[in-house]
Amino acid sequence: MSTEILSQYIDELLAGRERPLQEYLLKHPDQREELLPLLVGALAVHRSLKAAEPAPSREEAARRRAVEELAKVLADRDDLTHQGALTRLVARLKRALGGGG
Amino acid sequence: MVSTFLFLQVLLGGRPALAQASDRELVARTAHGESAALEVLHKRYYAKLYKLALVKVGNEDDAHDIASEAFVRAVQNVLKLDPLSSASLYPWLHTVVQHLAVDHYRRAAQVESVSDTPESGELLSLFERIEDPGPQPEEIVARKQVQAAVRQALGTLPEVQAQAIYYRFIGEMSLAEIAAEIGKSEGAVKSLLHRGMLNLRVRIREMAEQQRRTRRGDTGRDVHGDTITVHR
Repeated sequence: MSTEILSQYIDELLAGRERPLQEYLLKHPDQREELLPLLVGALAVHRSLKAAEPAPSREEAARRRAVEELAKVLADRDDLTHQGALTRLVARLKRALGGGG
Repeated sequence: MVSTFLFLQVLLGGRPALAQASDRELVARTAHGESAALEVLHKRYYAKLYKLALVKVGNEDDAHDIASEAFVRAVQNVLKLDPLSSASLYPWLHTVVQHLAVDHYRRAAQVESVSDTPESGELLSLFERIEDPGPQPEEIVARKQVQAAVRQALGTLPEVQAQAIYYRFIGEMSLAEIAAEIGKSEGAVKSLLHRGMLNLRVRIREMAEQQRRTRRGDTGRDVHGDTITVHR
């Protein structure tokens, strides 16, 4: 039963419906002793993680890095396609014919 | 399959807004070169990965590095990830962060003491003084030092309990999603969360006790003569 109540309490926390703990405990007076450490624990975990927001400048730098990496990955992939193979073949022909490139 | 679906959607002009798109669709669109889809995934998960990394390594700068690197790994693997096998990309990213955190500690060979935790009385209050005239739990958990101590204690939980807690609180995954991801029933996931919360209490009590001993000038050794430290 306390496991179920804990689960519901976590649902409420994650949905942004954080009610005073005492009020919540009053709903289940017969299980107060058992519930107390569980609900306090859940509240503590929720608040401690919620408070740890990343620095916006670092998040933005990470976003740019990821987008740049995607460009590289796609360029490598495209080079393995027929079009990439054709480009390489043309370059090799140009070199063989002395046309540079 | 996903590509055909995307093609039909484009053809019919019925593409859903990116911000509401599923992870599966965003991964597919990223693999097709749509950087805006990658940016939505980044916005959706960067903060979560940062929080997980912070719990693991306890340092904001390193946590940013790990979260950023996890995303780069996702991009490097995006062609293999498409089509995404699970509904959420979070579990995959979560595993990468865990590996990066282990690498981080291997490199640093770091064993951290708990000297920067708050007053031991304050820590114990978190779980034991709700009926006292002192601070209420809501006020106690609002304190930055207590929040840092809770994150530190989370890092010491048994892995399977910690994973359930991270999936639930950081990944904001439902019980059904967690159950599917770790191959257990929903009841078992609830049980893991329950045991995790009780263990958190034990860990915090241990941290508070250790801090008391340290302040008293004790040697910081347990009954077996082993040095008491918190390993991440």
